[in-house]
Amino acid sequence: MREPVLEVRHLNSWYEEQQSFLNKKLSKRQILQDVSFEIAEGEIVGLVGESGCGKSTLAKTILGMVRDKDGAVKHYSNRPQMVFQDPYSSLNPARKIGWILEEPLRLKGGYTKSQRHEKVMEMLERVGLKPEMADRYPRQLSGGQRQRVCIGAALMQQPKLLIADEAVSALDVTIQAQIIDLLLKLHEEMSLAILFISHDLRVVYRISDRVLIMKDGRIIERGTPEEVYFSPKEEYTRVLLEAAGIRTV
Amino acid sequence: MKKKKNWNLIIGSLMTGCMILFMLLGLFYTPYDPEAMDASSKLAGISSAHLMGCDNFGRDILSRVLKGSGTTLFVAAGTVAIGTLVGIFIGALTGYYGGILDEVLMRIIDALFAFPSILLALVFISLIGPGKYNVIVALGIAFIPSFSRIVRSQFLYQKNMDYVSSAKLQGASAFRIMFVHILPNTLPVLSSSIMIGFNNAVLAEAGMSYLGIGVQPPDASLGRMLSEAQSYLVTAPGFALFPGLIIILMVLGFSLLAEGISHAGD
Amino acid sequence: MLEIKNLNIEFHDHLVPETVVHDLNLSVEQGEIVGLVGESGSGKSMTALAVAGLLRRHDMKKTGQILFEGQNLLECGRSELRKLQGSEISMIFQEPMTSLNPVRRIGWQVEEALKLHTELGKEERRARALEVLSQVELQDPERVYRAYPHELSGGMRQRVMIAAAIVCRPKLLIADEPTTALDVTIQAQIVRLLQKINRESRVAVLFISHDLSLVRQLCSRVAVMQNGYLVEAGNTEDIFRNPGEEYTRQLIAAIPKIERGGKEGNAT
Repeated sequence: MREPVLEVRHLNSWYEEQQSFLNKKLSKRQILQDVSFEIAEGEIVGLVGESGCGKSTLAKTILGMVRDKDGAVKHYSNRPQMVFQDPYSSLNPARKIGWILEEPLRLKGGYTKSQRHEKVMEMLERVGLKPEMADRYPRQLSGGQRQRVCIGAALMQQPKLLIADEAVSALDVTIQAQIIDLLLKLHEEMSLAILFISHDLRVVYRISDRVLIMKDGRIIERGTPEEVYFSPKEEYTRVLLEAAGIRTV
Repeated sequence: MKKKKNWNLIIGSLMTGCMILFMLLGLFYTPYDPEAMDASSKLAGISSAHLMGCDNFGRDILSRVLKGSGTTLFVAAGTVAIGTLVGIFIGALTGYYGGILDEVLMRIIDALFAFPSILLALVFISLIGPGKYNVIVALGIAFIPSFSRIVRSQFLYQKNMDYVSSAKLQGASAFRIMFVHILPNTLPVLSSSIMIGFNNAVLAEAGMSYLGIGVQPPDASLGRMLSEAQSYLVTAPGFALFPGLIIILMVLGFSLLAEGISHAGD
Repeated sequence: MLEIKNLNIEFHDHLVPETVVHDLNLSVEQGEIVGLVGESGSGKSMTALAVAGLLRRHDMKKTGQILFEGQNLLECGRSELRKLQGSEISMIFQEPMTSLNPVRRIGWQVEEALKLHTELGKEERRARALEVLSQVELQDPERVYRAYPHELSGGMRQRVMIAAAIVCRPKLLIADEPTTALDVTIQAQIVRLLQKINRESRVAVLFISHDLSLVRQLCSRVAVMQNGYLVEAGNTEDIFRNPGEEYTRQLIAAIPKIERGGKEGNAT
């Protein structure tokens, strides 16, 4: 068994909302219910669910961006990084690509200016972008190129775990395939573990070593892609597979 | 792809450029001492010796306009600087953090906003007394509410963008996120409101000096000159005409520039 | 029934004109479902908007013909076009959140086309509206009729959009990415619903999508567009089995295959 990079144990999270303007009592709305799983070093775990099932909240909770929670999230390495769905809002429009890629190193500290520049150039090549892209602004790039930059920026601090939240959903199919190939390449080169969150069952099958199916804040089914896609135990998984045209009745 | 030429930007920057040159010239060179009185050329008309004529004390109007536009621009720049810097700070804090800090600061701002800024400035002046620097402080404070509102609304929008979350994940401090990551994104909106603010400041300074509570004699300012000229409108029209013309050119230049800048971002 | 001949669409809002659709030929027969597939920027949505008559703008030039039952939509007058829109040709859009008016009740919005195109009285309109609301398989049509858009889920709203589109019994329904914003399970339901409506009321559907697997389930014929050009068109199964063009092959290859033990490139 490989070393785990992330362990989630009995995780619950909820929103507290005020019931009405006059009634100051807070009501609890449960988002995640007793979620437990772990990701081993260099493993790709696919998390599938429909909108509102809590998969994005799970990502935010893992990254410590949700306050109201109990249970345990244990990182066994440096801080995981995240790639977001919308490549148009996840890059700072006022900054050049080079600056954006350099920022994680500035924040980490301990590099000279020329070391940082060198690392930025390395990363551009690694994610399949030309060196001159460093001088461009995000608006001058296509959606696929932007997503490459996002991945590059997330990997600058060399995290052991990358969380990709619907990272290819906003892209055209041919670009989707390229970005997935890139993620698989980086996964091998850097023995990077990935939590790949998506509503797209086909893409998840292509990329994952293990699959988690989520519904209403719970993980209802888990296993290898073969197990989950060819002998699903849960009715809901079957419904999902049929809806995606993968499994016929 | 070629775009239509941004004439607003071109003409606006030309006019503003000329005005700034004019002002800079006034700092180093004036044909006469702007405060030297000469009873013999009292209210003299336009001549080769006095290109814009002389005022009621026989002072050269060209020299005074050169000097006065410098004072006016200085006051306007100071005002906008105070308004923008404090406005950015308040707007960034309230927009980014929200919560109780936002509530308290924004209610104070709302209260200030309820008065017209010129009235607010009048109140401050009556408290701290007239004079060039006091005008800057008074107008500057009066300008803070509008700038902080603009910055706050931009921060409210920007703070939910994913690039802010990424920066947080990479370990950027709140201060760095506010002023290094988000602030540059507010510049397109902010820069055109700075231009408009500049305009309002020029007019406000002129207005206050005209009322006699702004820049005090012997300092020349465009508003001050207009005020002095009003009793001689019929006998010496040039006395009021030239300072007025310079104000109009200044304000028009800034307006065009502001319009041009706001379209340059598209 | 619908025949597009040598359609060109050019934008003139910049100094250099930009052609978004090149010399497009496409036809839709009565009661047929035709898929129009392409990635973003391929010109598929522009084509759809042109057929729906929604591209009446001065800064663009359209040449060629769009013949609907012999009438050229590009040349007919505004009032004739308006007579066709909503009654003979109707359209549903991608975003069910913005394509319904938030301050009007569902019933009012479904009846709108009837008010414009028929002489029906108030009660008859209501009866027809309730009929289509149940035809799109909405539970409790009476309640939906009185509801406001924000009270409905995304899937229900898209059903309402379909109901409003078919209320005048059109001959052609243009569906521009109608399921893209929806969850897979809802997506599948909407696709089944479109099939049912196509069967029952013999309405032809021009189904615009970037999702090839969806098009394969739904459409008998498919046309593939890239950068404004029609790359390939024909019988859906033929094209999926034997794509004639390299681009079509790439598009099909981009859909991850799900086969037992058939995973490649995933060395773990």
